[in-house]
Amino acid sequence: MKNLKDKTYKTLFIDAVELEKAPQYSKPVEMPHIYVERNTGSIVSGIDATIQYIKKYFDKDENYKLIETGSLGISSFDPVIGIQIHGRPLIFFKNVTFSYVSTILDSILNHILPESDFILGQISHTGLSSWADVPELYQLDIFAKQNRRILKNFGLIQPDFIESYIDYDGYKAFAETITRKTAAEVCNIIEKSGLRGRGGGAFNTGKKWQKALNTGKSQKYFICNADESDPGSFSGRLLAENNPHLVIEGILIGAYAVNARKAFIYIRNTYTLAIERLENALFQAQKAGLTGEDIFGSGINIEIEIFKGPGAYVCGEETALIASMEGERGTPKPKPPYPSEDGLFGQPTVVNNIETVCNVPYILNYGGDEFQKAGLNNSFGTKLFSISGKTDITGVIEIDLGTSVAEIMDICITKQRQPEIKAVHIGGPSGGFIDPDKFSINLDYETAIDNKLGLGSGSFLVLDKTNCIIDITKYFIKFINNESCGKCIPCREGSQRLLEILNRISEKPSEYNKHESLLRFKGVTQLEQISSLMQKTSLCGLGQNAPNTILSGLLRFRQEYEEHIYERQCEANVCRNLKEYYVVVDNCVGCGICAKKCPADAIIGTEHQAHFIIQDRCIKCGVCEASCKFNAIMIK
Amino acid sequence: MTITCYINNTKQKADSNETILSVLNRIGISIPTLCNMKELSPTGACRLCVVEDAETGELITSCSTPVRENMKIFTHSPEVINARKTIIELLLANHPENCLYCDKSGNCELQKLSEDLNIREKVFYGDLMSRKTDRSSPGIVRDMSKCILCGRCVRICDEILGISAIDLINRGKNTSIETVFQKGLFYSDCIHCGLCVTACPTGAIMAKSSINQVIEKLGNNKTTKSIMIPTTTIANIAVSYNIRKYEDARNMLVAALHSIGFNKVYPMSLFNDFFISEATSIIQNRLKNSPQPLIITDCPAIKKYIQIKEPELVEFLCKIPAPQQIGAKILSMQESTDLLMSVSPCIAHKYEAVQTQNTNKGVPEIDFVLTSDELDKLLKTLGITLPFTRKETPDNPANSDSSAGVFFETKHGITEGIVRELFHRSDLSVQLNRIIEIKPEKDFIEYEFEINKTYYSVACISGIENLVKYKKQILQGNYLFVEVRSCKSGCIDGCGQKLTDSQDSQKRLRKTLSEYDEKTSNNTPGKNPFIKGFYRNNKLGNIF
Amino acid sequence: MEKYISKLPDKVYKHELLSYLQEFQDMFGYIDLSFIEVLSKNSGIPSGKIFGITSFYNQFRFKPKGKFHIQVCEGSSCHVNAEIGLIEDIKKLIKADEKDTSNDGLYSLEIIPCMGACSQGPVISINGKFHTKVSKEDIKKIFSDLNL
Repeated sequence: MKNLKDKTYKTLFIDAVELEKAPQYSKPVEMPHIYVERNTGSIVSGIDATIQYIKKYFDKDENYKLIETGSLGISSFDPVIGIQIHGRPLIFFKNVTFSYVSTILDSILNHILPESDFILGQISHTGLSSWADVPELYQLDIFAKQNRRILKNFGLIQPDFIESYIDYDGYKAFAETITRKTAAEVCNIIEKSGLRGRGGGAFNTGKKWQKALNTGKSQKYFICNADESDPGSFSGRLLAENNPHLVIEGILIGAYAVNARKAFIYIRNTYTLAIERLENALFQAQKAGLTGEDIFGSGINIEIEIFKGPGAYVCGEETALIASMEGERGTPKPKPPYPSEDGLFGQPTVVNNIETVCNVPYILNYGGDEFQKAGLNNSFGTKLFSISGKTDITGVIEIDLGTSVAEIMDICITKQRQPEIKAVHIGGPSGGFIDPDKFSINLDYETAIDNKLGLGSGSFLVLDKTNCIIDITKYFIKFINNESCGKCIPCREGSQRLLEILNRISEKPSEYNKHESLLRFKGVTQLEQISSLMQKTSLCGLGQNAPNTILSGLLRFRQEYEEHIYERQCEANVCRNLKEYYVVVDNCVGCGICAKKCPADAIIGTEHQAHFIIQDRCIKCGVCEASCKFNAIMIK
Repeated sequence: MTITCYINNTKQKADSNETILSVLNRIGISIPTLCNMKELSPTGACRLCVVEDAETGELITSCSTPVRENMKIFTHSPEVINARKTIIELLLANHPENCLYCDKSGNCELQKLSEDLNIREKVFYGDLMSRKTDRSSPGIVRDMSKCILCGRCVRICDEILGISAIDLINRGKNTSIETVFQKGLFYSDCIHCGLCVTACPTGAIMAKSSINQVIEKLGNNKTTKSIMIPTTTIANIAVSYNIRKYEDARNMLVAALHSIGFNKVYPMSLFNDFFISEATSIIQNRLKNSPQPLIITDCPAIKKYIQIKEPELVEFLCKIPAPQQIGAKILSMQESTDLLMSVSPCIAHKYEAVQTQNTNKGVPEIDFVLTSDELDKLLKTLGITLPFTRKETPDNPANSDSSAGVFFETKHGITEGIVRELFHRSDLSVQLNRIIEIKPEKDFIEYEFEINKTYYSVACISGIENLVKYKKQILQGNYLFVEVRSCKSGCIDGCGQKLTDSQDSQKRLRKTLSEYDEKTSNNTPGKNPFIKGFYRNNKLGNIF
Repeated sequence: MEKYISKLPDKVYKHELLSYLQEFQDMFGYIDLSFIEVLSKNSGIPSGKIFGITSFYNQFRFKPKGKFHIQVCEGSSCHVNAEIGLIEDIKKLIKADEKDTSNDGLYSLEIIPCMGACSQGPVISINGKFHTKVSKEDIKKIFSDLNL
């Protein structure tokens, strides 16, 4: 061990990897270097066609280099390409679908800037003559307002090359840890840093590790939970896809710290690209001597294996995840015993979310104090948020825990458009709504709980006036209802009843059942009653947090509920089954005004005869009712 | 380690390994549960057993949480009651409201829970479930719309039997309990032991009823109708209606059955005698040399269980059919009857009756098999009140049986009968009324006896799960034979007899049968005149 | 398929169950009863239980995939940006429900919690080909253009 301490960490790999192979944007290049950001989001947006066209553009001219990198994190820029030509710094272009490839390449290869619509920004460097009037990439609001610790160098790192990761100081933390620190020391550092589980539970990670480390049993397991699958949360996929070695480094440190000889990455089977890249990264890590036996001569063996999650949201809960790895139905078990004492195959097991794991190398590189410079209250460090919905940009951003909602809004949506925003839904199925009056609240774990929210895995769904709170609530409850494991009654039956009540509220009472009008009015009280039961008695976090959406909605958007119930009015015009317009034949003179005004062409009829509304086409806008001078259009 | 905890503000001692629920049960506080089952690990699924942790105000499940030192618990605080109530209300929201027509009514745990929790108004209105009813099995009907997914049947089938003919399928709102590929129980590995029927708290899993068809058949005056009634059914009637003597109950039942249209009524004890005789003949050959283990059972569930779970034991399984099938064959040799029925304490015999080997070109030899409860109901439907005013003796040929045949259906009854008959055939006197003492709590007993200065030992296993547990003993124990039955107390706690749920009535059932045994001199099949006569004309071991 | 099944090792451990099922699903597009029965024989786990485990997870389907396998993203971003009733329209159009295959064997539907292209929602994919920002009108066109 001793002689290892004297070596700088990169020399540890020197035999195994060829560092000079990794392209660096800071060095001048001879031939054009084209960076293409390939990830799931950009594939859907058409990066593969773009790559094809780039290859076609150069045709037989081999005087260029195509570099496949990960994503910058902002998927609304996809497909993104970066180009570095002789003497100039790397410049990024956004939304480059295949049809624009030749235009952009034509101009840039001739040192001329193309249309500004495509230009994202450049990364200037001394010795390279910057592009005139092109903003610095990292000084763009969207990046400057983030605190990119985990996401550092995303978009530059090549996920398929270990050299690229090492070049950006990757595996430094692990190499120094395994050669210089004991497991207990690592646990201490992590505990003191105050890092808390990013999956939703927010339990102190270091404490969890210590508990597992201190159990007597010799066989232990470390599991990185990358199953994610929250609707509207894609940060886990981003990490695994675009920087798999960061995930592996975090796992290696964690496994070392709890004395686990075997670690698993539990990842959703549908994340094909992420699995492909993790598999490749594991192969490279093995070759570089980072995994396997006697790592760096320390006498320590750590093996990492990928487990493809067959798809169940509830498997994010650690006991359910373990059950599914054991080949069971993925249903949670009552705790205690906790997995850190009695987990996978009855052995002590630590389960950490992928984002938690990715925080670990940073803490060991820069220390707990530096880590704590970000954060608020007892929530330290940064957090990834997946921005989606009615925003200007969509993607993953990394900000300090405790940043206010308003600050995030500033990053993802222009000031002019902000007044249109009606609400933000934070935290996915376990989170809740925030109304504009509360945009000042800080997103740290403590404040979130005080405000009946959960940060969950960090989804940030922005809603405007065209979205109905009840409809979104229904969407999340339906998700819970589908994804509940079905084991405990409060969650299974509770979510079913909640959904039924919400459906009743957002539809017109059916005539054949007189109970229903009464039941609609009872709706809100019953929602509260069931929600409270689910929170108090559900077996696992899935059911306990599921009512957050309802409770926060009732708290902040009660009026919308009441409008639905009493006035049968959905302001966003999403709940279209609330009412039915019909023509009172006796009153209709057949003037045809309504038919002309109907935006959906839903009214038909011949002149001077009673008209008729085709219900399937009607969008319940109410124009016909307002335009009729004969009171011939009524609501049922 | 003994620790102290405070339950509803009173100090209690508890063991540190205990769960809260076990402490509460011990001190006599009753907590409603649905998913909790003795002997099985807690799953924490139903959440009904929640109690309030006085310090945190949280609701915790008492079945899965261990007690802690100085723990303070409220078992019936308003919050707890409210939670329990709401849970049941949620279940009732989409539960079919046809209790009036439900066979389980009066015996249903869900009904009782809502009564106990004082739920007297429908709070939530849920959309009714559209789950299918599985009628494929001859013995069991699974009406899944009544299922509350407590998981008891699944856990019994899995953890106790290891069969998993049914399991929870799908997830979330689509969760239900189904057989493989939803093909139905008959096409699954179900052994028809009926444990799930006893475990089900609601009417979701019930014994299949054939009462209506039977009533229709009984109405036809032109046909001849015969029925076989097992001794446990008779004892069951005796205990239910406080008839003290077995023979009184038997004769009343015979008279009652005659009066509703059965031409012939045969007690099963005669065919039990045949079973014993046949088995004894096989065993006599083994007295000198018993190279292989031999498993003797009359239980169709055990036979199927061995086929599915322990195929290597199949070759050791004695091939004698169950008494009701023996009865069918012997009766067909004696006389012709248009309708042959049998009564059984469990549903396994319903299944047995339709197994291929017991059918003739697809037509079962026995037309209907009723459970004891069904028979009771049939009599009620047809206006018979028990105790019946008249008594009649059973019909020929069965008006002769031995007390071994009567006792046959209780725990160790097969062994008892065989040993008696062995003694009899070896010219040893069979004086003792009861050779093998019944120990209700024991699942495995050995018995040793002497014939002509040679010692033999036999073993009896009760309970399906114990077959696997004592498999080694079966294979290596060098027993003359091993008796196996799937129910713990022999056939008297079969799932077709409601009465047998309680230990006390099981005891009374046994007593009724023993008393008959004690005063009957025909105490072994060899002393049964009909058997003697029958074997004069037919060769032993050849009729089946 | 029979060839594949016959190659299954004699001893299958419980924790390997899911990976064998995944492999089978990847190769044949669905889980066949015969495979569950062989798995049951080789692992000693009752087939009823294996069916229970298999049906718990999204990945496994019990009907062969259709000629066109349609994946629809139901992520929150796609939901927020989609026209009302888009998924219902698709279901009506192909006459198949989630995890189901239409009776003519042409279409099968899979609903995915998030496809990872939240900026492009609503997203659907047909046999791996993505269609982004689809409207109800687009759906009609996409399906009428399919080469049946």
